[in-house]
Amino acid sequence: MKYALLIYEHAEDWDAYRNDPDYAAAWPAFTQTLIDAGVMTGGAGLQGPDTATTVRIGDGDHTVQDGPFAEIREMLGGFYLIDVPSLDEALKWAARVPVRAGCCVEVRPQLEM
Amino acid sequence: MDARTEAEKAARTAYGRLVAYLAARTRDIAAAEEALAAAFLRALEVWPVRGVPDRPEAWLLVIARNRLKDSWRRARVRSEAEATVELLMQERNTNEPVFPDDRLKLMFVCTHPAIDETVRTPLMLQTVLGLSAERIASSFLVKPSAMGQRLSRAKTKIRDAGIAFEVPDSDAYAARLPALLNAIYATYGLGWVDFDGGEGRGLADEAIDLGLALHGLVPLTPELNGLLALMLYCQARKAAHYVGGRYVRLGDQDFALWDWGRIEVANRMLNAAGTRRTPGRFQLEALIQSVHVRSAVAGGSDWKGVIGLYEALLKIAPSLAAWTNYAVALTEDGRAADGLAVLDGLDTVRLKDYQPWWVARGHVLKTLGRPDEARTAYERAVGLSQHEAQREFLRERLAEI
Repeated sequence: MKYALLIYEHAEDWDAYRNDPDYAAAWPAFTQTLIDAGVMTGGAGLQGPDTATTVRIGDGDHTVQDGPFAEIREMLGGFYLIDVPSLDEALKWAARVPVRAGCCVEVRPQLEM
Repeated sequence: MDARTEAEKAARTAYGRLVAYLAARTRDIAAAEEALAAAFLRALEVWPVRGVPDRPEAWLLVIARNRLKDSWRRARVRSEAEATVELLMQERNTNEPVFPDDRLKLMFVCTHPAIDETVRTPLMLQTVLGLSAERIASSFLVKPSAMGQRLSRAKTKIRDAGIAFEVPDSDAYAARLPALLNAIYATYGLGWVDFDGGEGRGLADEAIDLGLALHGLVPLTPELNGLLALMLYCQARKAAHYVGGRYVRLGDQDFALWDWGRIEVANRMLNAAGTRRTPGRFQLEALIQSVHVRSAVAGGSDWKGVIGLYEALLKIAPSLAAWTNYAVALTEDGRAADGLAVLDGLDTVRLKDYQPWWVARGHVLKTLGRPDEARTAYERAVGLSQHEAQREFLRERLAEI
């Protein structure tokens, strides 16, 4: 089954994270592990919430706003798409995502298309 | 035995195995239950005419599999399901004498961490034992429709999120086992409270069945043995504990009403667990019950032994119930002031509506010769009681003050 691992990180010390060389090095290593295991089908790391622009769709029109869609403590930092036999396997990979303690990885099955 | 009785017997003994077998291959518990319901209906039509087949379970399984195949064909579902259909049909052709028992996988799915904790016990009762949502709802004090929704949401999640029907590997196994044991114990706890039900099998019996089923599926697991022993010791005394709508205290119980067969099984379970020397919460709680049983039969009590066991239990599983019972044991051992200190040291916010704490408090204060406070505590306990037998028991204690 195909799953998305949605990675939520603390919004307030976002930049501090990114400038830590150990943190930065952990991601390509993890990604390579997913590729070597033959489970990775896609994914992306995202720039910080400061760079976000939100388009709110109205009834026939839309508005453009600066910033992420909601001001919350955790922000989407990126995602992986993986193909594994079960949720249990997906949860094992989610637990290995190299985020800081206190961050979250939400696991969602993808729609069959 | 007539066809209906035969079908009902097959339902009781084989329902969980049939659901587990089908669901483990499709991940779709709801579809498996639906197909089985149809198979049981068909059995009631056919068996009275043609007689009960040699292997009723295999017969039911074939009908249920055909039913699943038909409904999938009608829905023209995805190719993955088609492959499963092929697999199911091939397995039928091998005509295996018995089909594999996948109930352990099903139990681990029901108690999976991805499933909401409050629905794990109901889900296991429904899928493994075949209890109806109505029956489960009444035990959990919720509306049948609400329980039905919760159960169906959980089954949808199991199917759509792709939870694995497998026994966890050795590392995860130890981590996942407590949730499974807790769900069984939760069933027992509900059954124990459910006294006024009176006749017939109660949830407590269902919990023991679940535990025994699990016991037959896993290697020696000391905490499972402990849990089974605990439930069996309590259940064995039930007939003597609750007589003619009234509670009878342990020391006043008629031992002839005890189920000595169950007590013997409990003893054996506990002894087998003890050989591993890995004490745990359930083993300690069972040991406490075994001390109660042995000393009551000897016409005495061993409060020092019980106190030691509670102290060990409180180190690993400090529940409100354990603290409360510890306070009572101290009081019975002539240390009522210590008992009161234990009760007063607990988190009083959580205690506001914890009936056993007020019962214990009434008892301790009465022992300490503080009648007014004892009366207040007992009256509070009466107000928090769920059953008339509890209220009657407490009114007798009040009258003694």
